[in-house]
Amino acid sequence: MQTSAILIVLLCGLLAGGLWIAFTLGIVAWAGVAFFSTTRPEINLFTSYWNTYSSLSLASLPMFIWMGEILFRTRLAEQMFAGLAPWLDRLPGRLLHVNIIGCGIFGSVSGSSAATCATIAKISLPELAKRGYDQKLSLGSLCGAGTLGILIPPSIAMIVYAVAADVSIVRMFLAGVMPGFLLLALFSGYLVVWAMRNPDKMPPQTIRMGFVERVKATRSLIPVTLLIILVFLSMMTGVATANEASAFGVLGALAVAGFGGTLSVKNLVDSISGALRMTCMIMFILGAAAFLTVAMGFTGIPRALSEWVVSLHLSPYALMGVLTIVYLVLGIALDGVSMIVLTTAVVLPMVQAAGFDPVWFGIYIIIMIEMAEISPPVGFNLFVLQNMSGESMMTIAKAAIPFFLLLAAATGLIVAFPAIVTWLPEYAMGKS
Amino acid sequence: MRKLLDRVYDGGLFLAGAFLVAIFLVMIVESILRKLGGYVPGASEFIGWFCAAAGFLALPATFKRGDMVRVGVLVDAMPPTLRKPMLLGCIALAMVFMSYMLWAVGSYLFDGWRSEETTQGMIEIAVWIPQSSFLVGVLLLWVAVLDEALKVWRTPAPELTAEKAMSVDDVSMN
Repeated sequence: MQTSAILIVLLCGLLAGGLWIAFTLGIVAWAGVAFFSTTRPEINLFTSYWNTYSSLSLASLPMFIWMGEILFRTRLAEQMFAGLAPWLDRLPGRLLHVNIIGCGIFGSVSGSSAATCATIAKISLPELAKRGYDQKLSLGSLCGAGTLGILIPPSIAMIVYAVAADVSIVRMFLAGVMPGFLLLALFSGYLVVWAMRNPDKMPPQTIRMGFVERVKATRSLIPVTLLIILVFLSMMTGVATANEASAFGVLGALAVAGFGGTLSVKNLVDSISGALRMTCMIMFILGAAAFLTVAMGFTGIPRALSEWVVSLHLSPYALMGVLTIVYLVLGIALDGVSMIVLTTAVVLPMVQAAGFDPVWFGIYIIIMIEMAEISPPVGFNLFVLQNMSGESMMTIAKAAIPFFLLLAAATGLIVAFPAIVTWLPEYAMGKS
Repeated sequence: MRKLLDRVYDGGLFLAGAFLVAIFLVMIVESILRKLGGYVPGASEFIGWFCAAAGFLALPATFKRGDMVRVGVLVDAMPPTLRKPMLLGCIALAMVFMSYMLWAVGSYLFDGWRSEETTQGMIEIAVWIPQSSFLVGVLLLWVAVLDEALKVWRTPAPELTAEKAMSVDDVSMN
């Protein structure tokens, strides 16, 4: 038990001391295997890394990242603004809804939260400012809705979780759909309420179009719709595997870039370079995490933790309450991928022992990461918007508070009604 | 020397890019053939091996460009005189782990080569051939870590930070 405590202290110490996450996990894993088992650590190291790197289920990761990198460099967001604005301008809250719905739609072709936020912000921030919308609400809604990129499938974070926790990628993707709609409704609902309570701060309707004209404008949504069908529906209906869907996603993204005239050699090379470095960083952590999971098995730490948690006889609500606080604290310093791998090596057995479904818990972690992305000091969405708007990070963080609270409310809802998460995957694929 | 090293890192990234495109092509060809009732022999093996190669060969470039994540808030909050030893300590630890990893991977591959072990599945080749991307990636990362150690050693303390300055180009990293 004492040696286990030393391992945990070593892990925290190295992390806080600034050693790269991947090396920290590797070193702690080595110590675990060397001191708690009679097996040879170097063999465990090789097989953990190699099996992770060459696993077929990881192959969709570089593809979905590449797809996002290509789309980020296209004019897809402009087209979406043109197609959505005529319809949304009539709602209370008007064009602010473009932020929410736009992020929701872009999130269903992109697996990254900051890329979603940046893509939509690039178009809608100047458009909304020009029309006199409340800057604070505009920034806050972009910041919050941008995080839908990792909740609405495809999602890089979900693939990482699925590989680390050994659950089906498609099942994770399906589980994210309803919580995604829930958040869209909460975010849009908040804008409606805000607009009704502050009518003096809302600019007038600016887009005057007849019904036929509006339908015509909707044509610019065709590319993104086709892309969603190609990737999402092909996977959901079982026509394609997650790997095939990801490759067709890249093909579709290349087509969108080609027709939009943004497929230059420079853009292509940049997209590949970006996708590779992101993939490489994640895979190196995942390999180390697999090594750590083997080591943790030898140490018995996760088992001891789960027995301890079970012996406390906590209610599920109390347990999730405590965990939420832990994750909010972790989110101050850690990025999403690190939060996931530390979770699956140590926390998941404990949560499963308390009776939670691993797919459900994956979605819970994703929402925790979303909250971390929009809270200071290292929330990347805050940074993206700071760069694009020129406002200070604190101003944007303050503007994002209502959306942070709505994410917290959504967490409460999925804890109280787990079926919001688990119904769709069980309906489509049966019980796991 | 500087130029040569940078070329080596970029070369790794370029090769990794070739493997990334190869994964894409195999996946597309395989799924089209599957719909037509055919198949690509060993497609899943190739995808796995290419994926590993892409991930390993990109390691040095990813490390040198500061894309590996770390928790830098504490280190960066330290006074420069304390920050430099801490950063050097981190790199020393990374160096130790990389040396161990290099040995672990090298001896594993050497065993596979000596025992003439072959891969199992549709494609039967010597097992060390696909696994050599692991060795090359780790070897190049070892060089890159050493390179970085020398750079940090020579840089005056006030100019050093753990956290890479955030950049909008990195949006898909988050």
